[in-house]
Amino acid sequence: MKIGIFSLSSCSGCQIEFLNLESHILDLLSILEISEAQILMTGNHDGDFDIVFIEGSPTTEHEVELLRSLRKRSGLLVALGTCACYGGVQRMVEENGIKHAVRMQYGESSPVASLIPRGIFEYVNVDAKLYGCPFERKELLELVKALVMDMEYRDRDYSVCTECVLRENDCLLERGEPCMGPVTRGGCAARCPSNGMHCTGCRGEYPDMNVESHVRILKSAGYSDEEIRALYNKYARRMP
Amino acid sequence: MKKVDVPLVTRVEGHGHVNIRMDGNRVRDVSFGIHEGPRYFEGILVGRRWDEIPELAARICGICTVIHSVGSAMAIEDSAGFSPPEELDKIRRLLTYSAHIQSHVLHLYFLTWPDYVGKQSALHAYPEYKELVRSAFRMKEKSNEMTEIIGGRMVHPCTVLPGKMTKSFEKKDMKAYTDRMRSILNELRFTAEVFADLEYPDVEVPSEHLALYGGKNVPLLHGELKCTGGLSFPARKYTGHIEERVVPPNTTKRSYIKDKGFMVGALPRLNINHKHLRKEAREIWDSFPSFNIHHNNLAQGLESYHYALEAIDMAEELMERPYVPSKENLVFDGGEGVSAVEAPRGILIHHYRVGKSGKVEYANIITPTAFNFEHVEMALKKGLNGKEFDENLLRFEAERIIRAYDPCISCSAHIVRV
Repeated sequence: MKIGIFSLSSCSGCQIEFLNLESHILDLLSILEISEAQILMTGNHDGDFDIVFIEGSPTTEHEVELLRSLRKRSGLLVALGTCACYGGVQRMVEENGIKHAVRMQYGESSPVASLIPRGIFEYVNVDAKLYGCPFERKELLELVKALVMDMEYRDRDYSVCTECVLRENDCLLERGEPCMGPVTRGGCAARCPSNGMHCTGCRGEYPDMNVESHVRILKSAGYSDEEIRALYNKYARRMP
Repeated sequence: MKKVDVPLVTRVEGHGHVNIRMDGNRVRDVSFGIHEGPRYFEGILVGRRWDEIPELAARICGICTVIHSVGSAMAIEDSAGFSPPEELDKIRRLLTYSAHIQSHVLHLYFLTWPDYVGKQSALHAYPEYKELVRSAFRMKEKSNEMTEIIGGRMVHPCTVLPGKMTKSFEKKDMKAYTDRMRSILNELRFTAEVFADLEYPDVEVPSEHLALYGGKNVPLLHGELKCTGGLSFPARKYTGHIEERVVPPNTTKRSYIKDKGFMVGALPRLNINHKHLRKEAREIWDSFPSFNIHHNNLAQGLESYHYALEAIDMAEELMERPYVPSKENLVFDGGEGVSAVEAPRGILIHHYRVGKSGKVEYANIITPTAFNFEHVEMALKKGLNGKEFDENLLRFEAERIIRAYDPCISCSAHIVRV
């Protein structure tokens, strides 16, 4: 199977996390061929791909074109990480208004026409999503296994709290910290709360979450509407 | 007149291109450009709370993620008039050491080395160099694991806050860290030797080299900014000595000291601090100063070995003195803060103004790739102008020069500011 790894506007962290599979990559090479990956190798691949992994979100027309052409050239297309899934932290420009942000970065005469960074599903069909900033390597291996064996890959449909409880962590929300665990998709083994940091919501929403109750708890802990909105809109625009 | 382009420079982080004008087979002139999509980080940081800044700043770059979180935390601390206690500083240095080693191993073996063995990538070189490629993955894996022990995650650490780490570090953490560092120490020494022995093209670019200097060690988080020419100034005075300018028709902002392009990175760090390099590393190569930009690779190899030795000593010291985070939060009275730290690829500046409410009112970030931009072009001109090449060799040499700087183009949050 021929795979490609492509990067739209992003920090490249998800490509780096892909390389952080380390010597597992050498094992994967027995079933996969990496045909194009700008950060890893020279040369372009002219033909089609079986799987294309895309990190980042398009912020220029050129990137939108690239995304559309990759969709045509690839059997399967995977959104790698939260920027590709939802737009990621860079989407916060939508909150301040993109014009303000452009002016701040470039002054009055912007040299580039730019788009609000959105999830790639808003432009093309996406076959699978790996959530997280960055995504979890364990989930990438599971996904590749499922794709190669033509099996179903299922998203985690439960919260970060589910995993946090299993790790017997103290509840940070109860301590008054702005923890996003109850309204964030699990799969990271509650990585941040297990390291003393509240969940910042990098994996986005999941079905069946109870936003109303979470917002109520934050308000009673003293967070303003504006602050709550900022928390919800950090990695994905969840409160437009 | 013929034009030769490299539309997308490969084996570097981010999106850059090269345009070359030719008279026949002779290079007339070369230019370097960046076409990274805009990400507006400074605009994003303004309005956010002080304790979110390391988390968000880390996302500027997935390779320099650790140093962006540490450097931004230090600038926020500076704005609150807080200096980090010694234990906190040491934990941060451990985190920075492992992150630098990871970044250097990635750059040396996966981005640079394939050029010196005529391969498309390290993976393509694997069948012929099985042991070396496995060793490269092992060094990357262990240094990533050390970053995870301290930072909670390999890419985008979650334990760094202004004023404290989010959790305690005990003897067992320090032991887990040193065990891993020791397990790759020989391979890091071997790496320093391999990259000291490579035959580098001679692309000498006499110019200022800028790095942190503290009169001891090879500092990564503290010190004055010092030039090889002698100029020295504190981080807070950066605007008085570093000038940013736009050179039409390019929209990219470039940096100058005394009107000239300058270099930051591993080679400048060692040109300025080589006397403080560990003896074990100095014995491998000690012909500093060097102004051949390809020696940046060699310097990264030496540094990695040096940092590993330093990190083991520091972690052992911390075994007897566990770190416990302070219960106090920073207090803001409306002030500005600046930090200058060493990212793997050179000096990184974070500058914030934080209001009394603890929200960021102004942000300015200058990344090493922004500092190096003019210097990369100087090196391309020096290495290529006036020489005869066939097209493929020309593209190869141009890319090889750019890769030597280990540029991080996403990092250049600031680079296209006009």
